[in-house]
Amino acid sequence: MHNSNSHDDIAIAICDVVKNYDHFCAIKNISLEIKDSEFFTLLGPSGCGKTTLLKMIAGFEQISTGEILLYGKQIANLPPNRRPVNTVFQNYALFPHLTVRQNIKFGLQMLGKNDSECNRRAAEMLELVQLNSFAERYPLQLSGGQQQRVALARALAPAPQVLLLDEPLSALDLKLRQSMRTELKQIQQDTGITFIFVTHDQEEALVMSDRIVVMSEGQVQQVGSASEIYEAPSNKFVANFIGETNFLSVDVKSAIGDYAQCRIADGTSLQCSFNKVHTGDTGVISIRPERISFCSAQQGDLRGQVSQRIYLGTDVQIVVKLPGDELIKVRMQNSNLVAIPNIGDVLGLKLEAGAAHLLEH
Amino acid sequence: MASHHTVRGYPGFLSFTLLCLFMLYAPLIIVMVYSFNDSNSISHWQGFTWRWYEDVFFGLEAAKFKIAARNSLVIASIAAIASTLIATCAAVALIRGGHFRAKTASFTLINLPLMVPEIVIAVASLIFFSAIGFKTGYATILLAHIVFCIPFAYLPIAARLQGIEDIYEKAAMDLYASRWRAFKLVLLPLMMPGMMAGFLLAFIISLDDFIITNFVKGAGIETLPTAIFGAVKQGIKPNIMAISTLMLLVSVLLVTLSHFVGRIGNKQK
Repeated sequence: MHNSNSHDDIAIAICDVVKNYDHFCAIKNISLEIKDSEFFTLLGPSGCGKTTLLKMIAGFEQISTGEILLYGKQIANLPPNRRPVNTVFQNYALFPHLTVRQNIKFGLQMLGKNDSECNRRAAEMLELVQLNSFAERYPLQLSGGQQQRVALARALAPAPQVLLLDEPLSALDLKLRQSMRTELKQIQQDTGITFIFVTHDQEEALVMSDRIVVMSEGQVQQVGSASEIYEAPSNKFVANFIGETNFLSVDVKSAIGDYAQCRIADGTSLQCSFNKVHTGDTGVISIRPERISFCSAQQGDLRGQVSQRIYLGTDVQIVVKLPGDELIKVRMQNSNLVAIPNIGDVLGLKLEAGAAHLLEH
Repeated sequence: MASHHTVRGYPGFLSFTLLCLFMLYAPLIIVMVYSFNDSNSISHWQGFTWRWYEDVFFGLEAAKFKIAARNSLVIASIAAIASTLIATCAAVALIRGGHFRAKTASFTLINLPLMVPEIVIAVASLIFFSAIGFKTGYATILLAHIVFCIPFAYLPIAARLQGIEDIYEKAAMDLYASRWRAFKLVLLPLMMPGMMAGFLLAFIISLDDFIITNFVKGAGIETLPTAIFGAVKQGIKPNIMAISTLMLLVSVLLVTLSHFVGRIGNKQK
């Protein structure tokens, strides 16, 4: 199944992995390839199986069937301590009886590295996460953000082939979380280690990831870069989970080149981008609110009446009712340069090229 | 006022509290005070003296008490160490062993001796030792003490272990520690405050035991409690009060120590 020359650029290959518990199936046949030096994110709502998948890579959960390959080597049957991957745990799990430095040295000592090597590497890691002056403190004497960095340094110290991160930012407050995102991404790029990051926060995933897998109910919904997933969601779940969107039911009339002709309920025709298409079917299209603008009622792709105006600070959200009673959210920047429509106005809606995207199901 | 809604606001709260405290501590205070009484009578105060303490260490019965005290300390030390080790194994098995059949039964069996009347255990132990032809003496006291100290050592150890999430062992194993090293380097140090508290509790319980010891000790061997009882049978002399006060002091010291050990542990957690 895997030819030998692909081993170098595929860090982790998950092949037909299934995880059954007594009464339910947590993972329903997942296959994924995570590339070398990639920031890869497992994204999904709680209970979608993302953490289970991460634990199976770490070795804390056994797989029911399938294979997990690390650079071409089967690791599914190895205990956690024999897998060259390390984990940053959700609540950090720092050893409370050891100092920051001892925590960072732990993995190196278990690998049998000599004292000078351990100390050198620990100093390097403390430098990396900027905690040199905290080396002799105990974890409980540190703030949440500092503990988070220690957990990162401890997991990176043994230079794992893959680093697993289990919602590591979820315990931090918003401001700290945002700054840690950039820092994590920077550290990943500097070290060149493959990161597998688990989160339920779509913004976090979009900001940091090279590629994202969106999961739901133990299945892969879509794999792709942040922009691919946001701009061209493959189904309703993905479109709805990542960002805000409008759904419209359509009849798919024809497909020519990159665009499909679709007709909405009131008879208006729209050009839609697509990943896969079946002409003659009914379908659903997704239109992101920020890719719609207003124009006069005679122009535009759609027409409707403004029914709601919501102030969001940087943005204003306007809800427009179409003739077929569908509601369309439009997001525009809060600015004095553009007139913001009033409730009751009848206006035309102009879609950017490719803004309407036909979903697969 | 808020105090009306708490138990402190109930009528008679203060007087009832004082009565309870009086009943608990008055006898102890009397013993402590009269251990310094310069009189052969145990109830008539005649002034302050150290002579009963001198009598304990250098008097006629000093040799007997010294041997008894040494027996008590040696037995308590060994029994506390052995029962702490066994209780630690039991706690790890029960709390970290996942689900297994007879888990509830095992838990109950470990803690049952706390509920069984001590006299029953004492009689049962004596019958058991004689049934298997084990000569009563030092060894039987030691065995009996190890056994009845296990539940006392188990309680603080299990309480501590229950508070330690298994994520630490997982983290250790994730960092290439074998199961054994994860236990030795991470779980054991985290459990240590519980083990110290368990050890001290077992030590005090063993040091203090009279009923079981008296049944299984055989002739010629005395621990401090049985020696004191023996002396009291010939009439209570003030030197008994001096010994009792000394034992009380040791107990208070150990309890205080175990309290501080527990506090250090909680800070760390």
